[in-house]
Amino acid sequence: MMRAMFASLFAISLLASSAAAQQEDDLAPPARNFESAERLTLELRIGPYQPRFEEFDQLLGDDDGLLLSLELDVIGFRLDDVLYLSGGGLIGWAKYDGNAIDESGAETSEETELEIIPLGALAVLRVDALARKLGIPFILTGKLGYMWWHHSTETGGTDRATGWSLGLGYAGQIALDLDSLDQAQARVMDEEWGINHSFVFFEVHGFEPTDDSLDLGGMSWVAGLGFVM
Amino acid sequence: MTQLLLTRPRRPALAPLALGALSAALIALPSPGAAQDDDGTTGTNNNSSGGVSIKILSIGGENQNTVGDVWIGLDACQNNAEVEFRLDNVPDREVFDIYVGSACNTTAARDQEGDDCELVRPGVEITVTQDLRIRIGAGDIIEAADENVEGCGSASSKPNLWFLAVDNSGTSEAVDSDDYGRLVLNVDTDPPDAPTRIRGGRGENEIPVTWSNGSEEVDSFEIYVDSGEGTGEPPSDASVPPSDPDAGGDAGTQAGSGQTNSECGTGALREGATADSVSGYFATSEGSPTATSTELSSANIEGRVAAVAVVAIDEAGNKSTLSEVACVYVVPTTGLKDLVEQNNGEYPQGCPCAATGPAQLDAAWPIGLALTALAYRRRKRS
Repeated sequence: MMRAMFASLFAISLLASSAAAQQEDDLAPPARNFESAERLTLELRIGPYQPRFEEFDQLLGDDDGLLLSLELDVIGFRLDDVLYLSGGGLIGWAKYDGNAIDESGAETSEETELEIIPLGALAVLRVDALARKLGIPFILTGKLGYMWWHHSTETGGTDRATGWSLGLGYAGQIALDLDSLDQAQARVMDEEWGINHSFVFFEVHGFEPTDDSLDLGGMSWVAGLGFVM
Repeated sequence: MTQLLLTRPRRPALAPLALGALSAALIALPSPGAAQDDDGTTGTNNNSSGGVSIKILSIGGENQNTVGDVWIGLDACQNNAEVEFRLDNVPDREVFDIYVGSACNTTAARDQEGDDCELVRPGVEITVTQDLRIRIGAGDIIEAADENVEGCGSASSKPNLWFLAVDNSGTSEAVDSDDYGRLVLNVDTDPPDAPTRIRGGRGENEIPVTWSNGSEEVDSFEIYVDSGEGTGEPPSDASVPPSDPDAGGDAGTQAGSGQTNSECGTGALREGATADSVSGYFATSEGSPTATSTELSSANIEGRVAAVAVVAIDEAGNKSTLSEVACVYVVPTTGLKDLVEQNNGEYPQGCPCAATGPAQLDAAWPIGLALTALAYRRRKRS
């Protein structure tokens, strides 16, 4: 009789502990292994830029402009944890001010200005194997594309002219992968904003216009913040 | 189905039209509670209180029918310009007594020795209860507000103007809140300091004039130009002083501390002269209180050289005296477009849409390539 009673109590305790364990499982949050699809790369960019043509140097050479630009790439091919192949577009803006000169070549008080709006279509190779495979938090990127830079100038509120400079654009970029610095925060950004990776970058870029364009070409650098989404 | 469509043409959508008409009607309606008359002079000034609502409509015939504070300045005071008030919600009494002072609605204030409340205008007959208009000289108000100040003084103040509706003019009985209106006036008879460090520039179409603000209470600036060749020749680059010692750029020449500038102008503009004395030379104004420069159009200058001076104006309309006098020069300039054309024969436009031949191909091939790649990818997917 006693043995039967002990056996019953044991069975009841087992059932109770099993139910409690089940309840704990229900309350526990699911594992955080969500990763959204990678479709786009967005770069917010800022840096100095000076076209290299002689007249610019003479009148506006003191102005570095600050070229503000934005690049959006569509990821066409992804080799997991190794590289991205993307195609994208770039749009930017810069404005330069200086003083017009008189007949003797001396500076006057009248302002002459140049505004440029670079547009570009780019092919982008972005290699992230170092960061993903080896834990070295750098991403290397190369870009090649074609540029349409709109330019407009005016002096003293009049004497206006506009045009386009066409040619090849290229860039090499090194980026610091921010995910490597704080992986937990990177995961939260993916879950809440759909941002898979974020990075800060330094890029050297150049533009080589055709001979019949105003020579807005040159080499310079930009820095900025990028997101893979 | 076709027949149905033909025999029952679609009705125009009436709902958007009705909503638009309703919105237009609502916008056109006066706001609730606002008195509306033929000339649209409604509401009160911000700083009026009491049962009788008060609004200043004009000073010296100049329309002040705007939202916000109205200022009475030195010019209005000196000319005793008529300030026109509009009163609404006027009670059914015989006359208005109009006082300047503090707490003039109370018996004590009006009875007090020492003239705490000064009667500016006694017994203005009440003829209507809406849109009653009363005119009082600005100088009379300012003089009554402070007997210690001679003439129009040289200060800022905020006297209270009381409109007391009473049955017997001159009564010292207390007045209910429904029977008076009070307006706090903004009086400023102190002109601002003249701008300093005037610099005129050299240019072909837009010639800059720069200055420093001489005092804090400035609302706008007026620029006066006297086109006269004088003895001046456009200074060479080496002789042009910088507009800003920190900037080091070229902004032209400036007179010394003398009355006029012998290098330019006819001598009509003189430092320290009143703006009224040179009103014929007014060229343009800068409406910002923080402005320190303007671009003078060459159309404002006859010939190659002109004298220029700047006047500061405060929010009461008081004008400073003329600043020191600087010179501006009209000289042919070469800007970026001109320089490119000089060196290359033309300014390259290279427009991808307008250019023909190789330029068009240059512009179009990357787009063609991208479209081909896209089409290939889509076909592969499908």
